[in-house]
Amino acid sequence: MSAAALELVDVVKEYPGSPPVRALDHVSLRIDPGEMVAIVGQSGSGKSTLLHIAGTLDRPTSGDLRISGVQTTNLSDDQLAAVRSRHLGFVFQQFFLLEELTALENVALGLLYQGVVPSERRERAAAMLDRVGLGHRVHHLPRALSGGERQRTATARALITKPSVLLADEPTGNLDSASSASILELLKELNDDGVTVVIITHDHEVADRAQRRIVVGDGRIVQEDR
Amino acid sequence: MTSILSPSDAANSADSVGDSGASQIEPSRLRFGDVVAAGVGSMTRRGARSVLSALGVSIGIAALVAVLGLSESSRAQLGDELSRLGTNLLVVTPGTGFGTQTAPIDEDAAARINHIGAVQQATAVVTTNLTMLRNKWTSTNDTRGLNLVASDGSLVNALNGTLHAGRWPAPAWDTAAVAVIGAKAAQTLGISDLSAGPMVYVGNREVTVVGILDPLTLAPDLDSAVIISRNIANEIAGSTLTPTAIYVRTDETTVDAVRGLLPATVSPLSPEEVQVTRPTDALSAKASADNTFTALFVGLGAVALLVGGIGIANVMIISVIERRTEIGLRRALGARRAHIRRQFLSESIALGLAGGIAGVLFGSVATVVFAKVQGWRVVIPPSAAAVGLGGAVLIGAIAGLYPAVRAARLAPTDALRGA
Repeated sequence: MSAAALELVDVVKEYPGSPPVRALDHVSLRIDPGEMVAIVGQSGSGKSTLLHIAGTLDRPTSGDLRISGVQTTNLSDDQLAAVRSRHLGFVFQQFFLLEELTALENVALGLLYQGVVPSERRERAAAMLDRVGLGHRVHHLPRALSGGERQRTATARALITKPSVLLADEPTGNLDSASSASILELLKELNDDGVTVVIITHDHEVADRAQRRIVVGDGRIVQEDR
Repeated sequence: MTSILSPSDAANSADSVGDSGASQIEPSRLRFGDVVAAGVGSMTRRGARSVLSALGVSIGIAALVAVLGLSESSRAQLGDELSRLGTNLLVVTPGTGFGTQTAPIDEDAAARINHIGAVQQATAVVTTNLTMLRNKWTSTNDTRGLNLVASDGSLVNALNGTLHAGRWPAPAWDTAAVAVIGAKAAQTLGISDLSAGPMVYVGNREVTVVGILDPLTLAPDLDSAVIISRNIANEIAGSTLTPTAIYVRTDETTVDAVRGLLPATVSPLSPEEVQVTRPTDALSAKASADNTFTALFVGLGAVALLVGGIGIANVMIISVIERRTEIGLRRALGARRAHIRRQFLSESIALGLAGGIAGVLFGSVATVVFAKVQGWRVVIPPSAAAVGLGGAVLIGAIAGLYPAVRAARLAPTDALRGA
């Protein structure tokens, strides 16, 4: 069996308090390379915690996380940063583009922490913007872009490092239905090209576009269908 | 498996089997040029705020550079002045001894001093009690605070004096009924034009004013004097006037030795009643007195720098709070804590450096303007500029340390939730 793109084994996440809040309760999940998976759940179901753990932005209380075969449990903070830089791409609901940078500069930021020289960063950013259909908006600031264009820019930034897994947190949450559809279309196309995509959403319509749907409730996987 | 194991990774993988693969991941890295670009870019994009936050530091640095520059300029000026005047002038005067009223300087003292090998020239001067009036119709009470001084012909050379107008009639000095007047005396008497041969009334005689001196730095009391030759003064007084002071020029290298010889030479019987001074000592003392002011202003500049540093720290803390999500995003993109720290440190150092550059420029301009107004030679010590820039960078770094550490400590999830 080849290595999973992303694998959670018996993951528990508790937040301190009295009593402690258990956000994830013995979650095991395996996502293979090339899959497109939707993780669905109500707010408070633990899906955001799941994304943070899967994205190494937070550490599990117990259990293991493997990314492209790399066991992350015992990694240092710096090593986790390296895992994010080399293996993970993030797309957020609020885009998180830097307002004072152009679309090109925002996308190039994805390569900043790989120590790539500026000229190559810009070159690859331009190619990636072209890839997501924004070749004509390269030098625009985020405020001059539509919501859909901003999310495309953010997606290009996530993809520029050729990540093993693209983690999208409510990628259509701030978009109108037309823009949502085009972003989902883009994610689908990327998946067809071989990118492993994990979408976290509360929207069942979005989830219906994925090959596999995992429903989370009360910190557990309550349903899984293909 | 093609993993490249560093020694520590190898040790790790020995006891934790699951670790294999971690060493395959290339660490995230941030190029130095990108750190600098992030700091400078962030500073320039926040134009007005950056200017205001760097202002305190630039004022402090400007004050330091100006103070150091001005004190150096004034010292250079004084140094120039001293070397022009010569530090080899000694003045012999009757001491303020106990009891004895008799003047210890006799008529031949100057001649005896001239016999000392290292003495270049000794010039006797008498401050007389003769009345000096503007003209013969002036009331005898109206002396206008001017002195009548009788001197040897070598006086102007001895004092390295220069003439503002007219001349010092060296060859005819001892025989001609002429006077040379000091700068203040010329003002008091209202004499500026010598072409009409202005005269002053001395004792019972009129003498023609043939020269006006520039101010004499080494003998400021002569600025308000009317100077005539000792021969003429003796004629007017009807007796031989004994010197009240002797100006002695010596070889530069033997000033102290000559100084030791002078009292006994002048007054072998009571050398303790002879006082020997060196006028340039007063000027040198002035130079060191300036240092206390320098210290005061350096202190004020340091306070301005401290306040400027606190200003930068404030702005950086606000910046960290405002940019929480940016920090979270950068962490998600693979930035290490150290990368975040460096980014914010770079920004505060850029602010400090910009303030420092502006401060050095302002301080230099202030020095140039002030020194020109004073007529000084402009000296801006490179060390002042270097210390200014170095200090500004240091202050930027110290001011940015706490905000940068705070930014780096932010947990990525907290930072991203802050949106």
